[in-house]
Amino acid sequence: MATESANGVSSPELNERDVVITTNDNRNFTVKIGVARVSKTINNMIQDLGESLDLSSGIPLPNVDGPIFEKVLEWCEEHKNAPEIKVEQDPHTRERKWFTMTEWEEEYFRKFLSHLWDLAMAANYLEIPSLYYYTCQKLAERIKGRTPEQIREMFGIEDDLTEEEKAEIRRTNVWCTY
Amino acid sequence: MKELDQHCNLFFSIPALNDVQIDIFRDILKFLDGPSIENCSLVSRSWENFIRIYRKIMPLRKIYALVIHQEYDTDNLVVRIFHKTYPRNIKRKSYFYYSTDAAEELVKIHNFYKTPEKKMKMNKKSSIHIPEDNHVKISALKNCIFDQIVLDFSKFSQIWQVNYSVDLFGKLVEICGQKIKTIRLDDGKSDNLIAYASSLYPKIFNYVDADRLDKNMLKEVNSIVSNPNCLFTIPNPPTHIELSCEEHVDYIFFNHPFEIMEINRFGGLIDLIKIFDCLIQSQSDVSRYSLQFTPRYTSDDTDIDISHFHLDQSLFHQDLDTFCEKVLLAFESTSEPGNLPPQIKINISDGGNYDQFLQRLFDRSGNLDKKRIKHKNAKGVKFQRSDQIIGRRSAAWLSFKNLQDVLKEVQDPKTRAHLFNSTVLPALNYGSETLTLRNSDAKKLQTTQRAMERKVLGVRLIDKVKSDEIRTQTMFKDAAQDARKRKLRWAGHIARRQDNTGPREQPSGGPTISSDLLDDHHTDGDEKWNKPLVQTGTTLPEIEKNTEGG
Repeated sequence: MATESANGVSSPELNERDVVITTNDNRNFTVKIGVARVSKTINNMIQDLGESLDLSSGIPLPNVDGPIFEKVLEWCEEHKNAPEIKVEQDPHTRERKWFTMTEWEEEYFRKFLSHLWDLAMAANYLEIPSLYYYTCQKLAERIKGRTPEQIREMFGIEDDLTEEEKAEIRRTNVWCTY
Repeated sequence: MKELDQHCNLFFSIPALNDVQIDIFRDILKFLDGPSIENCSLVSRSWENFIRIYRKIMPLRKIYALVIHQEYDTDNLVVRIFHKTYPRNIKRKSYFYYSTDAAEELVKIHNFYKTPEKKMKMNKKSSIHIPEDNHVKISALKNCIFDQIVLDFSKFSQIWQVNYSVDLFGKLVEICGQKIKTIRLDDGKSDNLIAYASSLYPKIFNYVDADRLDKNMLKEVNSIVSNPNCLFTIPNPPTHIELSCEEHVDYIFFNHPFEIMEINRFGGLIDLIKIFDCLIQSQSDVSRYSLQFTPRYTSDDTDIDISHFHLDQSLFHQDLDTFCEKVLLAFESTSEPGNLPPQIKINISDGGNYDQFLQRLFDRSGNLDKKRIKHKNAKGVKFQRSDQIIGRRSAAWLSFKNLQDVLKEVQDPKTRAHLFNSTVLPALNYGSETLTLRNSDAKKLQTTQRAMERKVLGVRLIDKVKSDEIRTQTMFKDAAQDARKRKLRWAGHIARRQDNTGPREQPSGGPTISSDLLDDHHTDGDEKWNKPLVQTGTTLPEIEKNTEGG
């Protein structure tokens, strides 16, 4: 029964149908199911609801607000048929291998540079691996090669470490250059 | 990001409150490298907390090498780390002397080489003494990963010194609390010491979680040849073993350059081949063998006689030749089709006339397809094997795999032989009716079969059981003979045919010879094999009639 309904849901016609998604600030978005499916969370919801899915009543997303969801949708439109990304890491240094981004993706992140953190939160909640890891990489890119002062300035973090503590950290991380 | 900062604070005051932010932050930091993460811990208290807790899963700082060796021109034992490069092939002595600032000292034991044994033993009782100041540095090593760890035994003159340095090494590893991935052992020059040092290897390997073992063994050849298993009987056997014979430039006296070079070079290469033999015999799970040979001499030395040099090269070729042959044979007999190397790579770093040698290699094993050969400076020569016999062999292995358990179970040799002959041999000799069986092919078939037989009997190569004996025990049909028989049988079928149709499958020609080689000197053979087959008849009168008519 469950498999049947799942099969029914994954049919191509359904991907063309619209679904209403409600964000936490009560904004309604009408989205094609094929696009909404990029998010694994929404996909699971649709599959679990199966036959009883009432498309008009909509899917509530309590953890995402409207403006961010708009941006996420833009990403989903572009990536609706994209294959899943593979997260690899260097076996020795444990460093993640960096993804290469397309021009569209670069442009996308350039547009929403100030919302990266929110995007990462939303992508984490909605389970969109491509958006999530790409955003993380973008954030890492901003952190990499900067001094602690620059990072603090960039993210508006207060410096609550005393000089002694800093000296101690430098002493334990012997080859720390800052 | 400010929000994150607050959340981190919350997280550490009330544990497990919100792990979404923690997850994201961790994922971000995982994209960074070791040094950047250490910088990040200086940003704020919550970041520092976070990094301290998750440091164990964060990326590591990369350090090139950790070396235990004698300081140049003094008697101090030094442990050094090299941040960027560790010179591998240049004279190390001079390197240390000229650019010590490229390396950082971790531990220094003064007058180690002068101190008499008794005094050191006193120290040893209270375990190895590493100055407190260095502890911080050493414990910082746990956030690092090394490309190489080098134990330089070359300067030790007494056994206790070797012992001590191994202990020191162990201590270092203990303090930094992490297994080491790569180890490289540089051994010394006096023989009895070497023997002793190799007896300590198990001890060293306790500290090592190596997937790579580099070993420079100029003098240790004999001990390895006598017991090749010593390389594998370590707790965590490495998957990559690199043995190198390094000649020392110091040895070349300019008065007699040739004699010395000859001894060093060819001695080294022959020894390598010897060891290689042993490795093959030990039949361990080594999937890639490579021979690297770098003859070194001062290039601006104009005294090198060209003719003499060429003579050397040809000698060198012979050695390489035998080496290559051995590699090929070894792979044919020991490895299963899946493991067969797609390429055999010979790196010859020194320029020279290698064409002759390569040509000989091709002549000997004509089924090597020569691809991508750079004639000048013959670097990175690749041989791609291409032959339909490979396909047949893998097919045979497949059917053998299906049958393997049964073959092992069945005790009656006749039944076993029947099973093998009726299932594996047809796969191995598929299509042999219409193909030329060259001696090299026959050899290949036999080696494949022998490998299977060994598997059935549970005899390893190292047991040194003769092939004849194996054959008599298993009573399997000889594959090469079977191939010849099949050909005759097929010929008989054709000859007995009464209808005037030809064989359904036309003989496709001779063994596949790569076009490169054809261009050179196989043109005659090519024409002969590709001549269309003329159907003449089945009985003698008919043939006469047909040929006359045609």
